[in-house]
Amino acid sequence: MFEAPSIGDLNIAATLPATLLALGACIFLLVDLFVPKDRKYITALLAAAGLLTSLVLALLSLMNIIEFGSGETAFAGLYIADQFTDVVNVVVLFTGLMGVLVAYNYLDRIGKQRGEYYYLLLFTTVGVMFMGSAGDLVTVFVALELLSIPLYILSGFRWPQEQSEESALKYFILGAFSSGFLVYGIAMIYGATGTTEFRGIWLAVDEIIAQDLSSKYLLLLGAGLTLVGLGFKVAAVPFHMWTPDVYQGAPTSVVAYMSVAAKVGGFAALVRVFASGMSNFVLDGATAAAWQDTMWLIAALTMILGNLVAIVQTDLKRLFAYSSIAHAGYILTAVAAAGSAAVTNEAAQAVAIYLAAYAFTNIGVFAVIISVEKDDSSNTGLDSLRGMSRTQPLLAASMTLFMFSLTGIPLTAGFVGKWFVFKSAIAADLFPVAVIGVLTSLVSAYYYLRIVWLMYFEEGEPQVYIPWPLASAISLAVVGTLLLGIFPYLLQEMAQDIVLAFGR
Amino acid sequence: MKTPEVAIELYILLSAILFIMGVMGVLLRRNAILVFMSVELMLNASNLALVAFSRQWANGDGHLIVFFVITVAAAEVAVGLALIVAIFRTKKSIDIDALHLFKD
Amino acid sequence: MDWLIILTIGIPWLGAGLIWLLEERQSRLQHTLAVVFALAAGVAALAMLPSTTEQVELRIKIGSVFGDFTFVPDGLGVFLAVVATVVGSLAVIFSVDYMHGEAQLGRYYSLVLLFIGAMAGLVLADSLLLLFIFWEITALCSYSLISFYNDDPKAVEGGIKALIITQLGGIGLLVGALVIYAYQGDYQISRFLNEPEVLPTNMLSVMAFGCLIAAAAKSAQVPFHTWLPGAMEAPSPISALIHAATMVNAGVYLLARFYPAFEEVDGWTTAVISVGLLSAFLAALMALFATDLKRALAYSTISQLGYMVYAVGTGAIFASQFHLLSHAVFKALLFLSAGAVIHSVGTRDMRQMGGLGKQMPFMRAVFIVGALALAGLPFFNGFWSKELILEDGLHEGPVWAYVGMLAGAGITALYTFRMVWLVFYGERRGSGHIHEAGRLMKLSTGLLAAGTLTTWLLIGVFGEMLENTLIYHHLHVESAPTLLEEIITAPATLLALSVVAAGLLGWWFRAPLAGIAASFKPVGQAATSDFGFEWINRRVTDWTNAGANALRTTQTGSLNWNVFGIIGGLIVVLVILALGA
Repeated sequence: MFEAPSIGDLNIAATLPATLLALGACIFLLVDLFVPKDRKYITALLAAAGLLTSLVLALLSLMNIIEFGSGETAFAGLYIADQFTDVVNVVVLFTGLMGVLVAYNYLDRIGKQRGEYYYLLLFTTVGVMFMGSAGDLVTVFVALELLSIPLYILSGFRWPQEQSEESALKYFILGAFSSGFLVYGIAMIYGATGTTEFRGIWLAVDEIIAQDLSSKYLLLLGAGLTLVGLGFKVAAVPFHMWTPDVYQGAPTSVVAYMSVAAKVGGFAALVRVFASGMSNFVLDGATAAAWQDTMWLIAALTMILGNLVAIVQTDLKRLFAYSSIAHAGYILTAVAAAGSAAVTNEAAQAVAIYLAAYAFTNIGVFAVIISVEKDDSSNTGLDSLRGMSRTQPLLAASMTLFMFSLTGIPLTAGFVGKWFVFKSAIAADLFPVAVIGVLTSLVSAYYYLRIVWLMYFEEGEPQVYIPWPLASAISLAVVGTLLLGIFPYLLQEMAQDIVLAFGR
Repeated sequence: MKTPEVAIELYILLSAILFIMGVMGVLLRRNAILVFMSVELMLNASNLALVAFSRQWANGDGHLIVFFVITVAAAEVAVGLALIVAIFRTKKSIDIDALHLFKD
Repeated sequence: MDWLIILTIGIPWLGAGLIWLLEERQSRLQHTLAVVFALAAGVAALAMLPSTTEQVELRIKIGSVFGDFTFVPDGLGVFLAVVATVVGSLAVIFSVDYMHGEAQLGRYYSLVLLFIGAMAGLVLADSLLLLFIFWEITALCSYSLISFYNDDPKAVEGGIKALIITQLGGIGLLVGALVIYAYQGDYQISRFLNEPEVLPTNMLSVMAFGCLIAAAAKSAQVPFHTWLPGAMEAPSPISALIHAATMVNAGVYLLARFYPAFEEVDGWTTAVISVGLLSAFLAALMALFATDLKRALAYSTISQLGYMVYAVGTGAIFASQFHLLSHAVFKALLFLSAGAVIHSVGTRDMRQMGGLGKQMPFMRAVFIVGALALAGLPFFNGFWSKELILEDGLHEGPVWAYVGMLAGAGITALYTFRMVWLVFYGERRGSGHIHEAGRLMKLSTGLLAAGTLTTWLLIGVFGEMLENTLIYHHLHVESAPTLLEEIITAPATLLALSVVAAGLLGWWFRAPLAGIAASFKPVGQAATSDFGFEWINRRVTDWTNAGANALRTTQTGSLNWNVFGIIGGLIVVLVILALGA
């Protein structure tokens, strides 16, 4: 039944950034046993070095300076090493690096300076990287769990603090529940097509459509279930309800990392499964893939609910949980656009661009929240930013920039992301969704600018704690947000080679 | 001895019933351990469907996924039970309705 | 030519950067630098006047989906750039006295210069995407300057309101840019105007009405006008520059620019005329009942912008732009001289003023010049342009609109005289020492007063410039003597003048007419309450909040509810998928 491929055919070199990091994480796990308790900065440094090495490798591959391995697939089709992989790798590795920077002093403050934190973070990062490069549903599933399980642990990292434990258990139960849907969905897709490899699925879908086989119903069921499983990871409405609770309860440094990483992973997999594997699933008489209507409806709901509920939040972590839900809606708009065959690649590029732009800004926001949070995890209310421009003008200015970027004001990275997303939506004839998107951005201006107002126009003496790793993380976020906003073609260049649709 | 043929539909029906039982379990149970077991039931329902489809298509891909699912489920169990134990120590209860620290 | 464009936008921005970097205590240097850079930008813009063209003169390759950033220095663009930089220079000169001794001068001048550059860029840009970016920069500058006194909650509220409403308008523009790109492949406005047929009809109307919303929000037209009175919390030179002479004109500019493409869209011209008429008429009534000097001027700005929008609706592009020029000059004059008065009296309430003419003769003189132009009396510049609009409106537009505009002109005269009387004549009703304005204040207002008396002489040159370079508008403008003669001899002029005179007489005989005035009380109350538009604004925010709160109650932390949500979502997803199959 099986034919064992030789080691050379596996093309392992193509997976170098990911496998190297996985290997590194395993080694650090052992090394950490010998690092004394009061010198955990060694583990942190090792983790940062590992992430940096992989980041450099991924960047080299992204800029096509070095191509690792030969050809686009590795591990007999389980792994795809294309431009999309490179973009996802770079974004998530950068996020991981920022995650280490914001975490180090925070862990000291909460008395949880432990080596586990760093290698769990590395494992999650590897999970995201494999999700972005999945060439097969098996990879998607295993990578999703590799991404999720360490995050469950990290959410509860502050045990025995009740909030942290509760958020971890909630995240875990709902996460396991939704991955149950994903597995069942995979089973249905496999049942309909007889394969789990995206290319094979794509070919089988062609056949199903051409001969109008009844297995298309099985495939629809599979698509729906998979959408639920992945929709949970990206916090799409109505699978989003864990987000505010987990974000509020989990340690802020974890939230900073996972608000970006889990999204990147979820969207990378969504794009791979739907835009790449099932883009040709066009039923009779339709012009776009069968899943497009569902996708844009979810996108619209997500944008509306996320933005509206964010208005009435009073806790910063909760507010940005809803904000991250809203942004998931914008990206979903682009995923929906990928359902139109002519726009598939453009939409996938928009997703990659939005994720890159979002990564810089969002992690910066949470870094600022970390700086005002007290050691007992209190003081994360909106009030904690009141009057910040007087005591901390630079920090307030950075936060203002992040708010502008999240609102989508030109000359910031956020604008570039929104621009590409809405452009792809219009190109795919999803005009109403684009309009909803733009209108809800206006609503979002209300709560983002209220934060600016609090910082500049109200009285208060916020106490902040900014050690140098945190400061450098914020500066990196500022530089990134500005750079990508002022030179949008950096993103454009990076993404324009993304080709996800399979050729006939 | 000739083995009797069982139609694929029956396997899928059984797996669907198991899956829905799992879902209802998660929805209705209050005890975290039982909720967790219901999730396992969902995963195993998927496994059954995968094996059945694998036989139908006469290729090994389905079997392959089953192995992965079993492995990953084991990892999930380890983490899940640890979390449940931790929360039991603090709260002296594993009733999921007691998880209500966060409100808007 | 291309370097002149770069200079016009670049000089103010360079100045903004330099002033930003200066230390706070070097205030003399800040004043000087601001004046020098603003004047230099004005010179650069004026130097473009002789060589206007409809060709793309500057092309910055950005590449990929952002297309090329192109600039076309045609008559319309250069003219507005000149207005922005010249009025900008005068406002900066005025500020030297007005802002004397204020804190945070660096922020003030940087924002003003940043605004001037962005405004010039907005009108010169030929790429709709670039236009949108400049559009947003001007909105942000306006917001920061309205909230300049950021310890005053009213100023902050006004700023936020202005930003939110103009952002709403920006959406219309953004949608337009996306649509153009989707069908045309780049953002060039000139290419689009040349061949608007590349868009299917329904997309063209989406874009046309999107631009109308954008224009109405930016130019403070009904029903989006509520931000402009609130914006009066800004320092007076800012009100003069941004909220009278330049930024608020961007909406009219947008409509005029795209007129050839949208002209044929069903119902578009009627919609434009209605917006203009409603704004002109209602805002005039509001001005009549306002007690705050700057708010009265703000309502009058809305009203006058309504005239320009109306003119675009009737196809009188030239008339609307000519009125824009007159209005920019006389309204800047009115705002600056009002600013000088307020600076000296220390209140904006007209009921606290009165009899100020004796202490401030110079300001009284220039204010009256501006007021006469606003009322449309011959032979000030406002007279010519307003008559031109009304005459074209009579010939080209519907009669009902014309009647409304004519009535508006009468009310304009009425509120203008009321304003002059309350401020400068009668008995002093407040207390405190009054001092005459500073030298530089006099210089800038004097120059604007001279402009108010003379800019109408440019009618011929201006018309020729627009006719030659706005090739898609197919304008036909007569020579100066013919035009002037036509205006004077047209019966419409006499009609309009008699309405103006009626307004004047109405004010003169206000005592005997008091009985009739009393019967208009409900109108007055409606006007002071902003005809309910403010109420609508409040309701919209309230409803959004209520909706958000209602949604929030569905977001409980209960785990079972979450599971239920996921299952419910799955069922919905499957149903939709099944329906599609």
